[in-house]
Amino acid sequence: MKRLLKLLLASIFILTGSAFLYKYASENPDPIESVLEQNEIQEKESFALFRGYDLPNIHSEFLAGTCVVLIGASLSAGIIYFILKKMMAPK
Amino acid sequence: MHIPDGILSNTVLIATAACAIPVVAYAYNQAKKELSDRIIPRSAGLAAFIFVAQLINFPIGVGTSGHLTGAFLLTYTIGPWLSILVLTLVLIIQAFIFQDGGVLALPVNIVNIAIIGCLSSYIFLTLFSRKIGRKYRSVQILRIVTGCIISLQCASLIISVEFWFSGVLDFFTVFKLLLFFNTLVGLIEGSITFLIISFLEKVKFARL
Repeated sequence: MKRLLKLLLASIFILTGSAFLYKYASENPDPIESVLEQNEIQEKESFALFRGYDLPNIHSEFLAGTCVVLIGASLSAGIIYFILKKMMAPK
Repeated sequence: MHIPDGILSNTVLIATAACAIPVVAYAYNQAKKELSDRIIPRSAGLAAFIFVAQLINFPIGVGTSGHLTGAFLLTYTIGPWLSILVLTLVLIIQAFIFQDGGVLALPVNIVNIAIIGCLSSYIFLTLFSRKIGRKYRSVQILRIVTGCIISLQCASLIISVEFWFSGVLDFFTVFKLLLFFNTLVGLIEGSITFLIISFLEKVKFARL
């Protein structure tokens, strides 16, 4: 029971902190936007296959966000496992 | 933390690449000596967790974002050199496939997140021995949270210098903002890291 309470308190702390951070960030304008516009850097011109997913995108496109997270996590775990195995092979 | 393309100057990009390449190469050689059949799946599992944790970004407002880095957690569990290597690979995947951080700005992100994050965590862990927190749980929490905040603040300092050298923004403008934000992110990261480390200690994870 005590452990559950501690876990609950930790979760509330983390969620409140995250909500506060997100609220603060969304209220503050981005001064770098003009620099990006000057350099004509657009997101769609990027080399990446997928566009970046941040908190609001995951919220609005939950399924797509979940898929991206799952693909990314499996991909990174798989690639790292493969590379580390290859590194160990000469031993 | 992930800096996109088109913000920092070419000089800064080249300088960070010149720093990142030898350090990652050294980390590769050191990690090779530490590798074992037990540590590989654990590194891969932690990499997957860190990938997911880094996807949740909070835009800070100076062309960069705040998020959990996982550098302290990795350094604590698998050591600094393997951590640098794992974080570098995660950053490469994020940049090339998920557009999280610029491709040209990849060396900058490797220096800020992987190298500075892991080495500062390693120095902190060397200074404040693992034995300190064993007896008292509150001391252990304090040590982990402080370690996370310090690793993030070291990265903040380097990011501010990079912005300043690029002539984008004044050093103190960026540093003040990152200092405030990364302290909050550090508190959250520290709490999550403590919960994970407590769990890993219970299941007798390697290197603990």
